[in-house]
Amino acid sequence: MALGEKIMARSTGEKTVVVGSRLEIQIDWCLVNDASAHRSIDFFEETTTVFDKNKVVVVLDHDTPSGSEAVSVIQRKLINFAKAQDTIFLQGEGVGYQLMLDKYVQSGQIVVGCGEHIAVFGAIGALGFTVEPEKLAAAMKCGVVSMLVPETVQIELTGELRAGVYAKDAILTIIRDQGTKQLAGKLIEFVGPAIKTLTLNDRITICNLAGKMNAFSSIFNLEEPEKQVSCASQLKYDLGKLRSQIAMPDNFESIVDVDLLKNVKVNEVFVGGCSGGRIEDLRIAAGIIKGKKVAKGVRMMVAPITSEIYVQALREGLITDFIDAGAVVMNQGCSVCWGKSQGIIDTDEVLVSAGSYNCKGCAGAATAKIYVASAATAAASAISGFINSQGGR
Amino acid sequence: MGHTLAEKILIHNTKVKTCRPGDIVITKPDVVMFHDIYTPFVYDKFKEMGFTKVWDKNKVVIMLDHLLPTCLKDDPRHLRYGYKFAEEFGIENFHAADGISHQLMPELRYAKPGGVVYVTDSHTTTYGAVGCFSTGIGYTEMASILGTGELWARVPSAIKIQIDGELPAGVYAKDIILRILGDIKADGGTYKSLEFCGTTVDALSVDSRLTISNMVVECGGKVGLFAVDKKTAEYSGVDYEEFRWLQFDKEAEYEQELHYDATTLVPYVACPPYVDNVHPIHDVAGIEVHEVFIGSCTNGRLEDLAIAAKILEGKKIDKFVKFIVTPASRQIFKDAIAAGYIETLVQAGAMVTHPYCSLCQGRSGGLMAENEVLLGTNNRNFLGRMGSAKAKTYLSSPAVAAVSAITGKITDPRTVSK
Amino acid sequence: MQRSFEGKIWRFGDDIDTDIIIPTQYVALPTVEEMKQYTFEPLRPELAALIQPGDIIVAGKNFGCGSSREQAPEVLCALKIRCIIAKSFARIFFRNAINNGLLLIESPDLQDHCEEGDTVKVEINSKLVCNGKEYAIPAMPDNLFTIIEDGGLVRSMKKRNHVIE
Repeated sequence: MALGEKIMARSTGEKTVVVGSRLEIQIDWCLVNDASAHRSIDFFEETTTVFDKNKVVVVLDHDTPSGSEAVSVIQRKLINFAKAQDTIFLQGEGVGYQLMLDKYVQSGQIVVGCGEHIAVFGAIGALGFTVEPEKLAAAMKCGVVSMLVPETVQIELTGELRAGVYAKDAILTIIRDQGTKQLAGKLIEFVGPAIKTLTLNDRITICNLAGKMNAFSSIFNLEEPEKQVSCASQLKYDLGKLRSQIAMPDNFESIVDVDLLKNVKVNEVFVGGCSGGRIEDLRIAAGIIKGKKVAKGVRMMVAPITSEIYVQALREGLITDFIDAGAVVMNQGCSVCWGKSQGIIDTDEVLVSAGSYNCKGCAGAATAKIYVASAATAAASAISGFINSQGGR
Repeated sequence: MGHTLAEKILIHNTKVKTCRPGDIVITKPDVVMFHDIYTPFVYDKFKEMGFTKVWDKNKVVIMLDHLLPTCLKDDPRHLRYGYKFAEEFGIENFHAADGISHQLMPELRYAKPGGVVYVTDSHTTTYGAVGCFSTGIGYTEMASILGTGELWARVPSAIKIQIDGELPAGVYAKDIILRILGDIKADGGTYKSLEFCGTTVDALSVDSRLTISNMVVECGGKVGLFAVDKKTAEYSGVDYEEFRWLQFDKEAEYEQELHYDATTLVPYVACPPYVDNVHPIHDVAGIEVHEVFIGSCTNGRLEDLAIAAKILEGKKIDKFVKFIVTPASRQIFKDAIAAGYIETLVQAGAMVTHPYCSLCQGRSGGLMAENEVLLGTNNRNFLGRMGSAKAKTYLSSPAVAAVSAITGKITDPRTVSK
Repeated sequence: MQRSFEGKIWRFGDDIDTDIIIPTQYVALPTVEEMKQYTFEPLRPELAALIQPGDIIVAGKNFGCGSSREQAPEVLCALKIRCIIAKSFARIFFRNAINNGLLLIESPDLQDHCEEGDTVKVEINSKLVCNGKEYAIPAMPDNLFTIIEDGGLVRSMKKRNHVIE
């Protein structure tokens, strides 16, 4: 059985599951945040109680601190829900996915939410997948989600990342090759000898963007990384052959080598969020900007992913390095990537983001251009003022 | 004949022999500054007026502090105009996200003792703490100064405010100015120079004096001045001996003289929707708060962060209270990091932002929904400023804000044992 | 400049601050024309659409207190408010209004003796007439009156710099 199937089987008490069959699976965690999942509360009658208050995590993380009255109304709704139901409640501590990885979710568990990054739990061998808000409400009521068992596709990772090439480049390469249709609806299982060369941060970064391929989810097989199962297909990637990648604006359908882009002036750069705000990302970015200055007119935005990482960055002197270089260091949370109130970009401006969104208008003007890349590429671009992978122009 | 501090500085600047309140004098400012809220307007008016160069580029400062980080669609345009003006007219004194302008002006010593400074912002009165005649103007007037190097000013009458005695524990500079505003009221200082002296004042740090001068505009004051002492001289990097002229004269004529006994002061809170709706804390203690803000040009300095950190050390805020902290400059941010304050605040549950105007300006960074309550260390609580017109903002010292973040209610810091 | 005119009164209380006159989130809109529809929004959201050219604002103490934003008098000028009559004005607003050619008149009594919708007749530097009563008003200092007569500080500076309109 593929790993995902094993997890689903365990949650239903079945011995095996059949791809394509409908299952009622027990949920271990429900994530309700101020992005889109809050709409699930609208389907929740006041008299209903959640199935298990210790398994519902209500988080304010996307637009924190709130950039508008409208968002504050949504956040107040979440607060009222959390109080009424006495659920787990987190706010102002950073990105909910990371907080759940740090504090709550264990390998083998099942997490549901409404955002595309929920595949991130695959980094620790847990299964996270997206449902519509109405279905999340149902899951909160009874602790069960009805779903069809997806097909697994195994991606075997071999070799080791070279210096200057990062996990973000790895997942961008995979998205570049597989596109948005090939793996749609599939559960990606990462296996292979390269897994032991990857840090937890690397695995999180890789799983985090699985949703760009419209995959059902992604998961690392940490217990049996050499195990091959008969499944939909098997893909292979040699990490040692990868080059720095960048997703062109508006979607993830065009991903190219960063070095192919010449003379693209940047206005803003972002190092942070669930895709580029972990300690390793901050260390890499700080290492690139240390002793230098952000290019004139360029806005370098930095946002550590969680309070814990913010503190670690303080202790390692990274925050001070960013301050000295002329960056703008914001609080823990989704920040510029969510694009509702921090780092808004204007018409025709260029943002290089280590985050995960580049759709038209998602950080400001609809004609602005957002490129998605690694934290290293973002930091290097901030110093030179032009898109480049490292070492300046 | 004696002169008020305001008169002395104007005489020093304009070289008139003497002056009286009501006289119109033509000042030649030592420094002017405009920030990113007004950059496009200053640029456009300057060009429209037909000027082709600034009168003295070394006396012009441009600061991007309200709109960096950008939070609304038009913000980058304002930043671009700042760069455009600087490039076209050769302005080298340029600061992008280095901190709140009213902190940077005295910190970087643009605003110095004895100087006359105009800025396109009402809280320009802040630099009066270092003996600088500084006041806010609109962008059209700023454009005219940039071209001519001059601005007419009416000599203000003055109110002398003497504060003596030792401040009790738990009572700070913010409480002093809130009490004064509550007594003088929102228009009680209109057009006037408020001039502060007394043993309490002597004992205050320059940071604390900046807090007081900052809010003088909230009673309509034109300037809020302190005499120059050794602390000022050290802060501003000047020779104290050269400023013996900037002291209080016994024979100076004041329109009004107020006396306060610092030992009788308590923590005060400005209640919505007016800054002069000031109450002693026991009138409002117990009101539930949903968000707490420590920052702004009023109270974002190192000593404010130190007070908050001391209160929050090893503690956690109420889990439903949103807590935002904004240091007032890059240097203060770094010093607070080195002192461990930032770590303490983050561990306690704070969202610490980059140094900029942050939530105070009411554009982003913690706006409120209907019926929510904000407790902030900033300087305005007007109707609708922080989001919903049905939200409420209370203003207080950092100490009140910090303890209230823990309890989730407006709390008297004196009642909390350390 | 016309020395005598009449207008319909919109009446306000004390301490009308600049956050009420034009809230901060609109101050970065590209033009005053786009901003003017939001004038007074937190206090009287329907009002901006009702104001007609030539209308007059009558207020209590400390009109225009708060921020230095010049957009406050600018949106009032854009709405073609003829003048503001108040018991007192905040300092920066006063300067900004003059610089935009907006006539300000201090009157300690008018606000107490009029209602919204009344008509007031203004004789500049002389008196106000409303509901059959007269109220004396102070003369404005010459240098300031010149700026208003010029149509604002920009025009004054253009004259100085010999910039042809």
